[in-house]
Amino acid sequence: MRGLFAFGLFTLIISITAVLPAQANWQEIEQRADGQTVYFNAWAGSENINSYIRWVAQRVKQEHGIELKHVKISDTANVVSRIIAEHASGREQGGSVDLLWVNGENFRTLKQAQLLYGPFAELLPNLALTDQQSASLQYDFSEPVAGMESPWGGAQLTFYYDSERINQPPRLMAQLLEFAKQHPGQFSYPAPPDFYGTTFIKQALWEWMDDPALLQLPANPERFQQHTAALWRFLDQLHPLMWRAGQVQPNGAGQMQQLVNDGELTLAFTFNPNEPASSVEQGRLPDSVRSYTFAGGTIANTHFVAIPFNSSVPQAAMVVANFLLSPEAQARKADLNHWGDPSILDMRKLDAEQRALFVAQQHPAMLSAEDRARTLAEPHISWLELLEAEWLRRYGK
Amino acid sequence: MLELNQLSIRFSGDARHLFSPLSFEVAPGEVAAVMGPSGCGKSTLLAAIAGTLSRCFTASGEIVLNQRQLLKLPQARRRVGILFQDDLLFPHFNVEQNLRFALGDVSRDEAERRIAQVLEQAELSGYQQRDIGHLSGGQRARVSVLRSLLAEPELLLLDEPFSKLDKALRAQFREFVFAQIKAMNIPALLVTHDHDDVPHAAQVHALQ
Amino acid sequence: MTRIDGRWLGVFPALTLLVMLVPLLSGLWYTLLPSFGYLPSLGFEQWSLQAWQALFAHPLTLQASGLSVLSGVLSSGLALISALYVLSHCYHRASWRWLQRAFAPMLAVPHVALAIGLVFLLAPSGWVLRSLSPWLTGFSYPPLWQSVQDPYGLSLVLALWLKELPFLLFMLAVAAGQLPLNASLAVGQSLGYSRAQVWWRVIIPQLLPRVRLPMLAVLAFACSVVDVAQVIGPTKPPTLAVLVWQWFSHSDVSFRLMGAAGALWLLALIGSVLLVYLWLERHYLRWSLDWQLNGRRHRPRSDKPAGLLVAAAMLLAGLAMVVMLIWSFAWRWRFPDMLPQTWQLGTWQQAAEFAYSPFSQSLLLALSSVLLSLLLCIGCLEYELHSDRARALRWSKLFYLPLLVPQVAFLFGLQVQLLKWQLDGRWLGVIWAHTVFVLPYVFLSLADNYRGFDQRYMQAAVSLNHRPLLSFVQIKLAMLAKPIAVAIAVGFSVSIAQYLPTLFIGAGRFSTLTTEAVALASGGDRRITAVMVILQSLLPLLVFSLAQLTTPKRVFKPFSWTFHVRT
Repeated sequence: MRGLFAFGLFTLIISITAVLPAQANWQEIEQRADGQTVYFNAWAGSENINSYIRWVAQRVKQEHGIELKHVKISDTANVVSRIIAEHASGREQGGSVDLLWVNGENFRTLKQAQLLYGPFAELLPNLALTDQQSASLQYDFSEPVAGMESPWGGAQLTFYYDSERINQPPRLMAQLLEFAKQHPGQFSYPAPPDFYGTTFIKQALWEWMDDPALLQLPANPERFQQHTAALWRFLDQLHPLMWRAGQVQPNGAGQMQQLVNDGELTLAFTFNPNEPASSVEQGRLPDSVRSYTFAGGTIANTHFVAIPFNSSVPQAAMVVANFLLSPEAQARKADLNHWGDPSILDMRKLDAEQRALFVAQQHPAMLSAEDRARTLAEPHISWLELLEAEWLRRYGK
Repeated sequence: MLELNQLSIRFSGDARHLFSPLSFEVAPGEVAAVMGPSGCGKSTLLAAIAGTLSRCFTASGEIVLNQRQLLKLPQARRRVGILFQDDLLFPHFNVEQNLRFALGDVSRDEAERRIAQVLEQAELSGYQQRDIGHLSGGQRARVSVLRSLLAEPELLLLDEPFSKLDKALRAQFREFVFAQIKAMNIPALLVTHDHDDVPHAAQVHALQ
Repeated sequence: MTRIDGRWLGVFPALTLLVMLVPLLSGLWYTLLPSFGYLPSLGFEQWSLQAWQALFAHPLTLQASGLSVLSGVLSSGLALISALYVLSHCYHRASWRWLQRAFAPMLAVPHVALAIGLVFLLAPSGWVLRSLSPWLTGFSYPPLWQSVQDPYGLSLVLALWLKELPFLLFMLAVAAGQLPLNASLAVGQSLGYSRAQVWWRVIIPQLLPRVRLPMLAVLAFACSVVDVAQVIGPTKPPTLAVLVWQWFSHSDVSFRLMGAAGALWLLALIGSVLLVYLWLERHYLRWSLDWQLNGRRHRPRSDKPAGLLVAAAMLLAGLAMVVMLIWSFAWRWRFPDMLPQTWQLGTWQQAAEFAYSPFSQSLLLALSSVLLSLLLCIGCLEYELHSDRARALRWSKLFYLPLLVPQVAFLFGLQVQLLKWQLDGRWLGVIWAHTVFVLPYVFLSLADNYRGFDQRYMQAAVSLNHRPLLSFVQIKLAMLAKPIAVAIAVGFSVSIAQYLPTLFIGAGRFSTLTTEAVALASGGDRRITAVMVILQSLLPLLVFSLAQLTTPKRVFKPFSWTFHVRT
């Protein structure tokens, strides 16, 4: 009797394995991940993100026996450099990075140099909880994701202002110029090649171009000057009216936030739509801060995690990437008291229990639902290089 | 008994000798003197005997101390004491610690007894815990001699040890040192440029 | 310690040269190749001058070069002149002991911590203006001033000056200790010159050659520093070192070739600055001879300006530290309030959650690299005693090379080299990289005092107890306890402050207080940055205070242990 039961169980397992190879694969991956150490290289400029990653480390330790080590970095490009250097010296195994928080240019560099492990994203069971058809998950800055990275969160260029100092924030680039004339020195943006700076330039270009649809196509170097002439006219006027007369620009979103808190800036922007709200909650911004987007919508993109080619523990890295996509992890990430980064999951694909994990977020500094809905796609990546070079030529000194 | 046999010193890689070869003997309890103007190589001679000769020099000939050939021995195994013109008391030790440093591996009680004894001889009773910085020049000089002798050297080298003391103190200290050497019954070699420092009837060698 | 067992000491200089020069030369080599287009791993195999052409065609290169040289030369020159000025008025005066104590903490605080503190203090929304607004200035919002990160790099000059002044004072004091100062001063004053005049005419000409190396190190550092310039330096353009660093870390890897060329260009610029300094130093004596011998006597001038200068420097540094302390306890602190509206302990609690590991890693890295450096330095200095002094002095100059070459010029190359040896991301590699920068400073602060030791004490000691090694420890090291402790403290603070080497060679796996502080400084929360910066300053401060308290007697209690050790 017992033997028969065991046989039945055996055949059952066999048949499940035969029917669902991916799931069986995943079990194997989870088994191999047990007891491994994963070095997760992630930007560490914000203590609430760091503390969120500490929580993730606790959870994957409990659930999967994985030792997650947060390698705290200030610039992802440095890590890309390191992976390149490792490749340069023939380190095909035992690389220093197992999991990397990445998107955009850095992703493209790694992918095109074939320095990424994968495709692996399709193997993650939780990927099914996202809207896999959406362009923002299929393309990272117009570079096909192709399973070489797995999504972690969504981002949208979000402006915020101190409502004690202005009532009506500018919702068009032309209005921004007016604002700067009335309130000189109270706006600025980080200098490219900083990621936030280039995003602002792209956003401005989107508004000043006659035919913004061209942005989705590869840039034409010959017609670049013509396409961007209005943008440079705008910036020529804006720069002298900016913070410190445009002679210094903030080094990133972090410094912009500090400057708003200090009262040096009145208007600034970030990439995490919930960040103004969570920063108010955590005392990094005044209560009077409100956030919004521009009338025509703002650029949105997705941030991902990727596994370098020479990670010695890709299985464990995948298990962590999968955990990052779990409703539990995404719900905590979205919570303003923890990180406040919006969930990447498709709510329609969650069951009631999973949905209940997400507490409704209400905060005066949060982006309204309609603003949240107005998103623009990232321009084709070829625009970036041209914009950066021209910007540097014009405003670098 | 100290015997120097055709001892000469030259610059390494140079044939010139600092002085013409020296040969003489010094009996136990005797003080021999080496004299010469400054720069003639007196201190270098002492360094060769003590074992602290700089690599710039090469010594040849023989130095025999109580049947032991010294020239090839490291300083630590020569059992040669030196008194410099400075007392060189260790500033981070007090009187007792300075003296204790020179004593061999003896018990604490024995060490205390002997230190008290030698201090008494030098009319420094009760100075054990004194800080070096609080002693007079004459007292320091005496402690320095006591220290050298407590190490029970088989030979004592005196490198102008009296030159920095004032006249009154000088004669008194000289007598103290020579008496101590006599009492220990060891040979001593004195280097000086002052005839007053040389004991009566001592053998005197001039460096040339 | 004696002639016969001294020969094996030759191991130390050989090992030291290996430790110092291998990373430097291999690092430079792997920077040189890419600058001529050769970086095969990234697909660049075509030898060319393109990187150099791109470098000089780049719109920012020339201005950034000018900024680097200008801010470096200005800050170092001002630091030297003001250090000499302070020394000539205060050395061995009543105020000197007090001054030494007060400057020690400034020597200890990491550069970048001071820079961050200065920004907190001097920015248009900084503490100075918060204290004066609105009652005095009328500002209810920060004014549109450029008091930090100004385009001329003046705030950078201020930060560098503030950090270099105590270092040069310290090195000058060490050098002055080797001169017959009291005699010179007595003779000079008896001839009717004022004390300060004797200093400038007699003593300083003797001092300058003795602080040549520290001064070169200061110049090279000031021209090539990255982290301080990122915090308080200009941004449009930034200094050349920052620009090169940006190119090296640009996500478009072809920038790396231009970065390599830029790094070598920076090296060449610094080389010329150093040569000019050497030339000036050599000719200063000749030029100033007429003036030195013109026979004019001055009445003693007031010491007050020197005191004021010192007081201003210390006030600035002190306030920068205090404002960080306040920020670390603030919850909300808006302009123009002089103090935070609400206070909290939360940031410190948050830090307590994660600070243990960076704290212990910083400590361990600093201790191991300092002890290794100390061992090598003492070995080399002992070897000097047993060898041809002049030759030894010549090769020991090579130890200082890593201080004269900008870090950006060889760290990337070094990383490639260590990767090949599988040493990156490992303790050994990171300790090695730290030692490359710690050892020169340990040597610099120890060598003069060590060489000045009266070796007859050792001869007397060995003739007394016949145990060279024991005598070495009980007498020589014990008598040198203070300079050794100070050298340890200097080396310790150098190690704690290392940012690029820890990051590059540690493959990011070594999180120290400094890497945490810089990572957090890139974010938006000044409160947590303040906590990390305070923690980062605390360790070297502690070690410096211990060094200040060190005396041979305290280190060494002879009857407690040593005399009963049988060897």
